[in-house]
Amino acid sequence: MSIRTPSILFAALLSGLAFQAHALSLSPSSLRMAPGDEATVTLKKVRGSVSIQNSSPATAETQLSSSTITVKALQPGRLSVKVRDRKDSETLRITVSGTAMTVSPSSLSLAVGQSTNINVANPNGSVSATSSNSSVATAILSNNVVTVQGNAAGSATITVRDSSTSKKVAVTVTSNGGGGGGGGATNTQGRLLASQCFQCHNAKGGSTGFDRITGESVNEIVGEMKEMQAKAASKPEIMHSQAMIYTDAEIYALAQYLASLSGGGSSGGSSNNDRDDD
Amino acid sequence: MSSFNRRDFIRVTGLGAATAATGLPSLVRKADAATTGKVVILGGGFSGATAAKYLVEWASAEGMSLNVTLIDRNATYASPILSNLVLVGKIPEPSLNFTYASLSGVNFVQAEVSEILTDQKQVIAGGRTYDYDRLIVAPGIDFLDTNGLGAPIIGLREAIDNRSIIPAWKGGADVTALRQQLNGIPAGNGVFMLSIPKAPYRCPPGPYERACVVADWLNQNRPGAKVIVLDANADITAEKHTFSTAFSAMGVTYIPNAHLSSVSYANNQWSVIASTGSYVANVLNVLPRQRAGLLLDKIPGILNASLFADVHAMTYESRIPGVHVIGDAQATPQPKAGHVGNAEAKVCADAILKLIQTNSSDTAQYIANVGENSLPAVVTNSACYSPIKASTGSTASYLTVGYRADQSNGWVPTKIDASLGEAPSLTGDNWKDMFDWAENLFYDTFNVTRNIG
Repeated sequence: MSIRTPSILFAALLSGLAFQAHALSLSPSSLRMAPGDEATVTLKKVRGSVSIQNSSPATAETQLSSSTITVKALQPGRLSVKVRDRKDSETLRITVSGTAMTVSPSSLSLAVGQSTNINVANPNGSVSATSSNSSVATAILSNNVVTVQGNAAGSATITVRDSSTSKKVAVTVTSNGGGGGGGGATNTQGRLLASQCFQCHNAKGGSTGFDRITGESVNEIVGEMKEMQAKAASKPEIMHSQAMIYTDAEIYALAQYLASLSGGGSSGGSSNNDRDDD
Repeated sequence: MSSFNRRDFIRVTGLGAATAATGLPSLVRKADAATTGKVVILGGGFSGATAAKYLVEWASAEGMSLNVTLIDRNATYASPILSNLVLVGKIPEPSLNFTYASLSGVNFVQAEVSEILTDQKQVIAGGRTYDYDRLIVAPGIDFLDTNGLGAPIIGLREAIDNRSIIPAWKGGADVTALRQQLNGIPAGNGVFMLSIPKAPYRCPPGPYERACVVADWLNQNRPGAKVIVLDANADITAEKHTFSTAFSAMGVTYIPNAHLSSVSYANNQWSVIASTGSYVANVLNVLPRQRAGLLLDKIPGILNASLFADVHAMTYESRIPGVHVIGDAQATPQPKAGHVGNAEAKVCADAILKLIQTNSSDTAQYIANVGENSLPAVVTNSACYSPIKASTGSTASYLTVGYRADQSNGWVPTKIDASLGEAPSLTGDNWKDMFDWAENLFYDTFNVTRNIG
């Protein structure tokens, strides 16, 4: 709010809402950003033509288009951006600090059945990874590593987001090289690998104790296996060790088979023992 | 693993590349894929029964008409897994007995095998002839009379024959008979002596586990009596941390590098002469050195010099085309135990379906037909829980490790070091998990649910 003089304050008190309805405002009016971040500021109640004046274009770039200002943070520092319309002026204050999340590589290519990693550095807050087309490629995030699995030939974009920015990785999946889960109608590769879980986790029928591993999605199973791998060294448990047996591609193949089993194991255990996937 | 496998592989690698270049369609899409076949399995332990179950299940899922016949001389299989708990009276012997009635789609035949004719692809058992396309032999282990230095152990064979020494290493009634001997040990100065053979033997942690549960039982029921372990190996062969800790806590005497040379019984006690000294005992439990089950002697040339069967880990096909060997009788570095035998059986079953589908006569042709890039990952895992203290405040340990066989290691199943896990401590949770593990393994193998423990 731009209340700068006692006389305007007085007018504001008198005219109330009517005054606010005619004043230029910025939303948000200040930004905290990391280098590499992009943000958009919306101008409201604009009267007449608008201009902006950036106090430090080297710290953050600003660009005006009709009623928005796009800000791209470049390096640590502070700046102010003065926004004027015919009647008012407002100041956008921007602080650029720390480092921005980066991902590498920025594009990748892999074959069906293979997996590869995208490394995430300097994320701010919680991180997520999504695929624009999970039938082509799946993205599983674990400990700042996104495991990309090629499922079918085609293209997909993996978007990695943290609380301040998002990064896109273009993924091309090729059909050559690698049989990809057996290459046929039946995922016998995944079936054989998954069958080696059944000594302790029955797919169907009667037993108790260890977690049920059917009735979960591919991503859930892969996520749990990656989490257990990450804990193997620091927290010894039998399943954390077992998880270390498998490559990412194998985990994906067995997860795909397990997820395809129709519910399975309706009596597959009390599943009250969650030691294995905490 | 023998160099035979490696040479074989190098040869087929060339073939595989040539075939791939001609664009042979993958096996699943192959128009003339065979959809019928006969598999005969000899031996219905963890490995044989698992192979039977999964062959039927997977063949059916792929629309194949596969005839699966399982032949065993016994109608019932007695699990050695958990049998040390029968030994100390914690669980009843019949709770570990399994029939094959729940393995639907498997033709079970109780018969003694008299001949295996690998040229004709026939097995003769109980006076009947069984034709096969692929034969799986899973005979488990049998005992040798020699010690770890290759010298005979005088008196051992006779003592085993007259049942004064009962190894009780194959489960069942022998375990109950050893239990009766254990019951006869006096408090005060009684001795239960356990002789562990030179590796490889069935169930690496098993003898140490037995020493622990027996010591615990003696401490509770025969105060002052103790366990002495004579180990032919230079050190504890599995779970060294677990067992050395437990031995100290329970007062077990452990003597490594002990090779027996004679055993004799007089004046109500055993006299044992070993490379480490002379000993006396009330009960002498000798686990003899082991070899592949005697059934394999019916197939000339299948055993290596160590009397186990070399196999190609991709298919578990032995030196004899068409004959696969799984479980304790095969010679790969995987442990000899029920859980990993079950895992081997699944690799073998998957490969046999593909061998039949691709009309491949042997492993080399199979690899060529399928193409190197389409071969499944050959990954197996071994896992087991060992009871340590079976009386009040029961505890158990666990051990697990995975194996991978691929081109880079010459198709020798190789330990994945990062997957090696030994229980950090002996806990009651492990004791509970032990029963869950065994129950699930029993179900995965025999389709039978028990409520033990």
